[in-house]
Amino acid sequence: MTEIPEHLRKRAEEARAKAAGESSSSPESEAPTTSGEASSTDEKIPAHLLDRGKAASDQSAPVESSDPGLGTGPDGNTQRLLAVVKSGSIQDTKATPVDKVHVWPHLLVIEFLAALGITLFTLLFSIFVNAPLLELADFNKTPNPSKAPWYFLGLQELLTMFHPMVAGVTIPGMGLILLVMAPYMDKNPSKRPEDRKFAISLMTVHLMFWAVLVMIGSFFRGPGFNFVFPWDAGLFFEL
Amino acid sequence: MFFYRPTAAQAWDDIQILQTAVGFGLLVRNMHRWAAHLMVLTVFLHMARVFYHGAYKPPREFNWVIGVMLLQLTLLLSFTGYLLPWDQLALWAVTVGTNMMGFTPVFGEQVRFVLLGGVEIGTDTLLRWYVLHVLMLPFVLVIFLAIHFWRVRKDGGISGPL
Repeated sequence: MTEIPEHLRKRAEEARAKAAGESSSSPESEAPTTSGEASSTDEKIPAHLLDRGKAASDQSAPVESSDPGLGTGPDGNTQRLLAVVKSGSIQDTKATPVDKVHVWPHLLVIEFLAALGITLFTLLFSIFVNAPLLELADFNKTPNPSKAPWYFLGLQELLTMFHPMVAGVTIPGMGLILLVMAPYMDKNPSKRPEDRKFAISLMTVHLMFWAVLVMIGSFFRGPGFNFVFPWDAGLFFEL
Repeated sequence: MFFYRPTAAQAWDDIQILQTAVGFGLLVRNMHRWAAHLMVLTVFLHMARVFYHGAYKPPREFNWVIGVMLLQLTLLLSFTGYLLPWDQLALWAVTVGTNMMGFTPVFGEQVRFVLLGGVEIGTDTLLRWYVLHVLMLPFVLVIFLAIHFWRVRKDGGISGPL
């Protein structure tokens, strides 16, 4: 109750003067005026609070009002200014708003739903599509073609072009080292796509290069790892 | 782990029995297989997203490095799991893969020997990769995952494009 805003004090004083001067109307209609801020909140005052206010005003024993006689109407009813609550203390949230929300529940609920979704997808997919189990491993029967798992088929594709040491060790090794070094080589501080055209182009070229190699290795390589079209020779691909 | 024995004589039969005689065995194996492929795909996609968002830039450089480690661990987990059914697909896919690693300069032969537990793929390889697949790699992966998530929070959450 240290500083009461000037306009509120003025309004309260006017109301008090009005109550003292004229014969004021019922205490309910006066209440919002003394409470200061918005007189449009009449309807929002709960009924039981209104009743309580009425009951209090019926007892002609004002406590906090500086001048008890001032607020007393001709019929002996009183209005009391109990407190002027500064709008700041009830309307402002304590934390200043920032563009952050809590991990729980905002993020974790989404992640949980995503986990449920992907589990459901895997379940349904697994009901309808069986994982491959070919015949027992046999060292004497080399399948033609022999293919690595799909994510290594890009490497196997490189084998057709380079010496195995280059294709199997040097190129993937260099690739991994370059990937690890990426944040230390790319010193451009901006994250805006338009500022990092070179980095994005470079990465896209390599990702596309890799994806194309994997797809060729997966779908376009037949017996003898020769180039075939899947629509002619069929698929030689097991997951 | 209850129904599977990692030996060349028993592995394939155990998978066969798992699929036919164990309740929901086929379904669970299917889910394991497809989820594994999904995981490899997802890790690649995640890496691409992080790159395009520039999310590897300071202060997240270290977490990017952890992420590349996790990518390799994921590939290793998938590759070790590939051998375990001990069917034609497993044997020859792993033969292709390990032959490539045998061309590591200087100590290629040794690398291949350690990977295979011998000069050629066999029961020893199966046991070795089984232990890697169910024990060591998951253990290491969980540690790296923990660091990865810890860094995500430490470095100010996930990063958007701007």
